[in-house]
Amino acid sequence: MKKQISCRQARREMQNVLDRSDPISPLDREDQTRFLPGDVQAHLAQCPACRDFLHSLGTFAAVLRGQLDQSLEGYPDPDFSAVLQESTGQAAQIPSQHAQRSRANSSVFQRLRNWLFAPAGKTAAVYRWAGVSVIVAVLASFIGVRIYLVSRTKQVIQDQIDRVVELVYQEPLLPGIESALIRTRPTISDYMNDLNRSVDFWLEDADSEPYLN
Amino acid sequence: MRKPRETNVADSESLPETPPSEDHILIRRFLRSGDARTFQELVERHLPSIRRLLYTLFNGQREEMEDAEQEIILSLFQGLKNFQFRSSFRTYFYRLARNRGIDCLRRKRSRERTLARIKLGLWNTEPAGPEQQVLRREEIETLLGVFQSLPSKDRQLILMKDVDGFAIEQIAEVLEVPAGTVKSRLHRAREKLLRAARRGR
Repeated sequence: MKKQISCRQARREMQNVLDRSDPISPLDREDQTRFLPGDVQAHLAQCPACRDFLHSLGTFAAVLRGQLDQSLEGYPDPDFSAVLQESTGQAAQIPSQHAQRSRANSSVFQRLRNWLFAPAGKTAAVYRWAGVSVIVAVLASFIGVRIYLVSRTKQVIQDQIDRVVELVYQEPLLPGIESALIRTRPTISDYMNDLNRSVDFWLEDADSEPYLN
Repeated sequence: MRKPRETNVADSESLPETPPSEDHILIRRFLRSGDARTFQELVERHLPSIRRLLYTLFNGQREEMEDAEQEIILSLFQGLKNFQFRSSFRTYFYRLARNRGIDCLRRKRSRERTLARIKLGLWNTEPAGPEQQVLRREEIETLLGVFQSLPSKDRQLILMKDVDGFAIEQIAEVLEVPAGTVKSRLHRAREKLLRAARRGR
């Protein structure tokens, strides 16, 4: 007796057979039932929905293809001459753009070189070199001064911050509590830093003193 | 169980692979001589399946399809010198067409989004009128209409396997996914299509 399979398994198996059957014309697809395994055939004998699925599976591709081709009827031929024209145009354009850019770059360098180094047959202009040296020196000193000023300003700001902190901590935070800078009593953080002290000792202190600072 | 392997030559376009040597001969000839007619011949051999792909990608919008087709052919013309003769030209061309087509589609969508943003402040969008609804219903009644209502990836799979007769491995190569994934996605896509077609009937 053949084992029972579900619709899902049967459909999967039908599709597997169809996928294995390439290359096959869509016209022959419906005829693939004879290659189905026995359990699928047994399932098909009892299941009209799967028979319908198999029939659709066998016929839909040809129908779809026909409808697709019908929709594409009257579609114009590709313009090969335009493709060729565009392609050769692009090919010609790329080197010319490149040449233009390199020409522009080279002309700037050429002018600068001719300005500093005399072209062949002429002597180099000393005053130009002197001018360039002065410009370089001014730029270097300007940058140096800026660097010095930055470190100077940083120091001034740091001093001001230190002063503000000192002023803040000189005053007590709440009435009856010592300020951080002049305190004489231990705080919770002091106990946390000194773990060798016993908890009892800390609790003893905690009863008498508000460790809020 | 015997595996069916016979081919039907009556429907030449559905052959999963045109003889590779013929394509390769044409490519070599074109690369040697740069002859435009050879290139044209090579393209025309595969044009029907490329057009079906474009129809699927662009939902039959002719103007967009024409632009994409032109771009694909130009791209092929310029890139054919890089073709490695190791793989089949059909798969190579199909993959190129798909990638270029998707590029065009992305550009088109971004254009449409921009236009929609511009229009948003000018016109109110109204729901489709009864005529448009009737048209849509008629479209759905055809298998092609149902097919076009599927997600793009499902459409491509069905097109490649069932309409254009690509082998699972070739589809995997074009889509750059494992063959097992192609198979399971294809099965789901077919079931979706047939279920939707039944509902439409």
